[in-house]
Amino acid sequence: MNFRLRQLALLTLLHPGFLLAESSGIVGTLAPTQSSYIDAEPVELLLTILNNGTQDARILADYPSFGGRNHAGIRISRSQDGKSRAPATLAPSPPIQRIVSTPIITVGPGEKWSSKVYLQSYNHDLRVGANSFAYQIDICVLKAGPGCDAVTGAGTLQVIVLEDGHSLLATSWGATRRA
Amino acid sequence: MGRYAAGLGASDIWARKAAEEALCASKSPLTIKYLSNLWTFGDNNCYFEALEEFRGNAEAEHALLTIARRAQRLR
Repeated sequence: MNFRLRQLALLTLLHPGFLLAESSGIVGTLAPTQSSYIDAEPVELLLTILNNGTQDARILADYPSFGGRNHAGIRISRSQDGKSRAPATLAPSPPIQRIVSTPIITVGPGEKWSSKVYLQSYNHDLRVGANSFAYQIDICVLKAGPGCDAVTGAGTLQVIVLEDGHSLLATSWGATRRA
Repeated sequence: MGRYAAGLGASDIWARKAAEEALCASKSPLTIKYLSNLWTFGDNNCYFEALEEFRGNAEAEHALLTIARRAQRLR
């Protein structure tokens, strides 16, 4: 088996949705909605799902995890020195709630769907200053038969957290007085 | 915070879910008064863990007690 084929086999073993994801053409991205946030403020992120495929995509939307049916949903981990640790998975809703209320959203070919999610729901390790996170998206797209295709995506998030407003005001007022 | 509180009454379910999640994700005690009312909407049950984060805060403990009493009355 040549190296490229072995790599593909390993990827498929580690991420069962990999081959399906490649063929589904449905891509997810996460991006902060602001350039900076105040300490203790919810860090708002925009989840965007773009259907590049040729058919309607019926997406399992168990907010806020977006996980379920052996798909991890949204995972966010802190990046350190350009490397990221394996992100923790946010537990999906309990099975009984999932059965009753998990919505399914339909995204047509060439269309996109967006929702706001919050970084603190996935990772509590947020510090004052510059923060770097890596995210992975793996959401079930229902098929006509059993199993799922997947919305996939991966990237990085840069989040700046400012000290609380009172401290900021006090600091800037002090600097002005000293000048 | 007021923007998220206003979002709790949105007719769009995704806007409402996002507003609830935002209030749960915040670590500010300003959210406590809103968290104590979240359970009535039922789209998200994050409020309980969020209020737990403020253990020792009288307002949060009162909010949890209020929720427990309301739930008991519904039984």
